[in-house]
Amino acid sequence: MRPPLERWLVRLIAPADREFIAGDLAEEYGRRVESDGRRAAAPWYAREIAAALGQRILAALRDAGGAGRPRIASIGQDLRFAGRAIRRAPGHAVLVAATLALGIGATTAVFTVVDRVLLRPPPFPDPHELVTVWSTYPGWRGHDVLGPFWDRIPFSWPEYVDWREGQTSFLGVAAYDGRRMTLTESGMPALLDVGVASASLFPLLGVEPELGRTFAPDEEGQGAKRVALLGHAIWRDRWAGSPEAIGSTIRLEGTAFTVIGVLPERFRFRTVGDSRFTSFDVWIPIGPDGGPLNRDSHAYETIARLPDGAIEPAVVEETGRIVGGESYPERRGARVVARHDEEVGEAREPLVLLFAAVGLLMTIACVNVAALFLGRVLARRGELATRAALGAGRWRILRQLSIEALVLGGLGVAGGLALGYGGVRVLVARAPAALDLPPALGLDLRVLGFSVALGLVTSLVFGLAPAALLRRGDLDGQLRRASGRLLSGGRRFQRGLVAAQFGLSLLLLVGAGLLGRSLAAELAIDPGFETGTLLSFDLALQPDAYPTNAVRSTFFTAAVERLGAIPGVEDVSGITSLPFSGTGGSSSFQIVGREVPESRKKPEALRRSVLPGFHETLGIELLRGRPLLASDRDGAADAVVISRAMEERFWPDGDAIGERIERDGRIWEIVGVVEDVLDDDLVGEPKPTFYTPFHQDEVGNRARLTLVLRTATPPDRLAPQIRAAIWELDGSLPIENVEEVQSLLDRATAPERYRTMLVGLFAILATSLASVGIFGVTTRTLVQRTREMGIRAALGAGPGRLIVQVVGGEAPALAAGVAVGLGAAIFVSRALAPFLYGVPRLDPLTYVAAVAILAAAGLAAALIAARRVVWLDPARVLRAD
Amino acid sequence: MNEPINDVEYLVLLAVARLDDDAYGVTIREEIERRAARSVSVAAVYAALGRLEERRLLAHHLTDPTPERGGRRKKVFRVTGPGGDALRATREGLDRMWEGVELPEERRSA
Repeated sequence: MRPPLERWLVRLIAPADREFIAGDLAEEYGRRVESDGRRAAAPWYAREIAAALGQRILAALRDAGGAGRPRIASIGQDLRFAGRAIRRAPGHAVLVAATLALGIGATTAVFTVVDRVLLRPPPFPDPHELVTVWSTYPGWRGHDVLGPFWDRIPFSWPEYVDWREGQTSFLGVAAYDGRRMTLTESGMPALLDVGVASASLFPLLGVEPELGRTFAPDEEGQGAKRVALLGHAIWRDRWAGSPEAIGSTIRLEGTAFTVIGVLPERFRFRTVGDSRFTSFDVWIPIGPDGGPLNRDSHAYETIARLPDGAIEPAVVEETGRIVGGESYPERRGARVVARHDEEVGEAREPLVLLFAAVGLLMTIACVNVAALFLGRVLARRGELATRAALGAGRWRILRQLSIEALVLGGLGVAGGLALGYGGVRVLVARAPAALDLPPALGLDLRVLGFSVALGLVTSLVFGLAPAALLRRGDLDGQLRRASGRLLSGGRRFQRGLVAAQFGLSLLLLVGAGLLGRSLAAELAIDPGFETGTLLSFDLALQPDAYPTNAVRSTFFTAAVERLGAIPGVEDVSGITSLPFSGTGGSSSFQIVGREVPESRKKPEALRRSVLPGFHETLGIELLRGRPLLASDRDGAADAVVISRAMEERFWPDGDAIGERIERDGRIWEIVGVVEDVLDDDLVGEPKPTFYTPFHQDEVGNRARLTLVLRTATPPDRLAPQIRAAIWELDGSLPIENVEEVQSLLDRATAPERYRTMLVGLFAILATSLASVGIFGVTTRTLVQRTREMGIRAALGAGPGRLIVQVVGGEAPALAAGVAVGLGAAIFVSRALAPFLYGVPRLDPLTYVAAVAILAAAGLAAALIAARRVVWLDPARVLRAD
Repeated sequence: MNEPINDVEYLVLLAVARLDDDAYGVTIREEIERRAARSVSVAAVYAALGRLEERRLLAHHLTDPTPERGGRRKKVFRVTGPGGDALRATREGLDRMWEGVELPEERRSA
């Protein structure tokens, strides 16, 4: 039996005994496979190969020591030499190690995250076959509420069934959705993330339950059975991982479901259209208890398997025809997307860019390390010549240089590891929740190995450069010629590189600057209400315990009263969906006197149902008319308050007060107009919104409300008192998402902040590396022109003038780099434009600041390198050659 | 040059002596693992074998290729006369060291 990769691996064994060692390993590998299996044998084989490589390196080091010398001692000596060389030029050592560390750390950290998000497919068999299908409705394009969703409309249950029965292209199709449901078992009531699914979902994904079974085809739809699948975590926590969970019951929203199975621990599934659900506690079948079944409720996302994942036009056409019925293709159609793309979503493009840029960064780091080592060649000339004169052979010198290079490289690698680990932790901690990164994300070992190897090889190759050019004989003369060749030959190239680095850095600085200013502008936006000391939490009433509108109204009135009595609470109110909570929907309505016919699109606006005093509690200004009051309840005339945007849209020339709108067969009179609030996007336009009194109108029948409290004390300490107040009324109510409203807003800007942070970090890295590059190039110029400088100094030129001359010599390269970078930045800023708010993509301040920062960094690096001119002693310089 | 042999070399030399005509990498390694409870990599065994052969304490011959070794030959070792002398000398040296040694009572850990 042949061990894995044997052909390549055996080449790592020293040639002398390769045949016999490889033979022994092959023989024993075969036996181990038979006795312990392949899984145990392969790591053993890898260890043996590694040991053989280790032996080979040891032997090579020993041989390099020359015959007859005490062997190990000379390695110690080399290490001591290396230590001394590093101490003599600590700046060089720090620069080499820091450059490598930055390159390795950044590459590894970013690759780890990018790999996790972009390259890793969903954890199911044949993931490339998985697609998600949306229905489309071009008529919504451009609509301000529905526009963004025109091509990602979920399916209704009957549409899904039609599709399932009628389609011929897919290997299998499934529908699912997520919803929050209250678990009313023993213990603390809890709000669970419940997945509702067609019976086909789990077989389609290829998921086998850990215990029991998944849904049967007759357990979904109209006659759905009340059965449930437990997620692994809830099974472990609430059922202590006992097999007796199967057959037990679980009460969701007061309804009992029989547990039929437990899902495996590694099962992960999320909704892609609705960002709230990144995992599920429990699954129930789609049916009367788990989601709407009528044709108008577009509730269900879909997932399907296509042969080879090939999204052919015919597939899209067929699906569109089934979903769109007779209206296809004008009114309704379908869109098929690879599941993986859908999950990665908007993150893809910035991450790909970042990935490319980081690759470039690692290249630049290596080039800089090379340049730094080359810059040291001349400085070491005398020392090496002396050692050669004292009898050190070429190999001896080679070995010493390689140990020095490896020590520096090793320091860089250690720093890179630390930076990489730290970097991944920062990237994960700041990542928007939608990326779904596991908190304990480990570094990607492949890319870590690759960048470590690249770093070490670079330092080794260029650390050895001086000695590699040696031949026997006149060592000093050779060194001089060799270093001269190195210096003059590579200089133009190196300058070009530095210019390129400056260009890249400028590009990144501009990008970071634009994003940063955009973020600042966004954070300065007034959402239309004061978040300062505002606290919110969600309350969901059980339909069976609170069956009617009147009962619920009574409960919430009592709750508001109790909460208001908590010391430190100034105002209390409630709303069906709070701005920035990511919930809530819109309603169509008719304006009385201006009704549009059924065939045409009715006016539409966001619809919110509020408790009395909502606008006061949030600090939303009342522009005209009156607010909604406690007296707006059952029996009184139906009243509604509208937002400024709604008035401007539908009553552009005048007062909407007293106008009436019709919805659900009821007539609502507009009694007030309030200032706009932003709903879930800070940079969007405010959307037309109308507010109805909760006591007259409940959106949906869930009886779920978000209560908001304006407090005088820091709101974070009130949670225990809030719980006590609510549980005095009803101890079975779950109190969820107790949160400061400000943090809802923070979450809304999280992607922007993440983007800005990434680009900013990256700009800092690139600028640092570019500075290292300019330092290297200036050093080289100086070293090469030492003699000339000495003569000038002897002729009376002061150090100041010499420095100006040296630094000035690098100016054209920098100017070229900056020019190219500016051009590139102007070009690339077009790609950034969609992400920018409140700052033009050609914002002069940003560009000027970026150039200034870069120029300052470059100048500082050149000056630091040039400062040795000050110490030039003309007499010594002239003697030295 | 009568450099003393180190402990891995000693183990390898003894293993070759024990194994008669079948002393090669795999068996030597197994012998050391079984009897001395020490795990040594194949490459380390060969490093020791190379040093011992350099000092003419061991000699080898090659076998025909076999399929289970991926068509490779086998290097089979035997102990030479000087090798036997070195083993004996090492043993005698150790025995003399042991004479009169009194150790604290053996401790058994669970």
